[in-house]
Amino acid sequence: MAEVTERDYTQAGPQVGKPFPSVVLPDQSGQPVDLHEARRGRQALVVFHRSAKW
Amino acid sequence: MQLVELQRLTGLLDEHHTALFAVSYDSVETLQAFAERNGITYPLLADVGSKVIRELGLLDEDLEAHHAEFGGTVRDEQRGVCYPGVFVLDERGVVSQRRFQRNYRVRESGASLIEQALHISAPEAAPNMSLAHERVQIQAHLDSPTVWRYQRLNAVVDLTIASGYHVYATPVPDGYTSLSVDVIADRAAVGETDWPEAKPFRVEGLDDEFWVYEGRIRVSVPFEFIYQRGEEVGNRRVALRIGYQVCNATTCFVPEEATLEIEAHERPGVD
Repeated sequence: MAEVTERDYTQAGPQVGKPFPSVVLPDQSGQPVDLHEARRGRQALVVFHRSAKW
Repeated sequence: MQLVELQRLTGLLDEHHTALFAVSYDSVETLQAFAERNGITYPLLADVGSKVIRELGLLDEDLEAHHAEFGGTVRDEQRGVCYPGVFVLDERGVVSQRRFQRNYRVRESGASLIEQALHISAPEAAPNMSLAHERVQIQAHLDSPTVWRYQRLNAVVDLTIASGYHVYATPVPDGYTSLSVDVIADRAAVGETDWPEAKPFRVEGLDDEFWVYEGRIRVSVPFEFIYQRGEEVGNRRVALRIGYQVCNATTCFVPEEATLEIEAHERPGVD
């Protein structure tokens, strides 16, 4: 049977035209990163991925 | 993998004043190990506990349905995983694009993402084979580059698929794209494609049986040019449009299309 999703995830998350919310999380070195600050006024790609482990 | 491909393109992103961030529910330790192993220099953000993922509404709540990547059984620690996708932010931090695929297994390649989202071409991409050369190389030729009028010709397409990857054949389950080869020419009669043998392929955790092509394969499409009475000898052009979708055991890339053009030189005389 083909995969059937219960939710339409293509519409999940912040929508086009809305400010991307503030995100502050540690990076791979353990240092906290404020995404918008780290952007330094540049356009950005924010890639949500499943896992770096599997 | 998408994150590793993006690392190769960070120079290009820097040149285009574009920042890059990745977010997942992985721990700092996991991300550190991954970054070291793969030479990742851009920030891999650790959303341990999936707080941000949940806040943004990106939690994948259908893990039992999205089970190809889990091999059939979802572990408790995987419950916080996000649905994968990419946001493009403009200079003000406003979302200018959302790139989420209908099929949870499908990912855009790094080069494809940059090309489609930012309209930046990776320099190593060859014009007609565009973004695909990392996993699939395509070569095409006519089995007879000089042709007699009314000769039966074959457009021969050779695909070399990187080890560990495959391309779907038919029948293909919903949501996937099978290999297609179309001959596009002015005034040509195209016959039935001669497909290579496909292999059955099972994805752990999925009931479907897929038919796939791996390694080096050859597809031949027979065709003939149609001539008009009194038409002069000349060269004819043929375009081959090749559509395909590349996957490995857990991930599929977005379907791609490549068009190659070939010229047939007509030899005067009648056979």
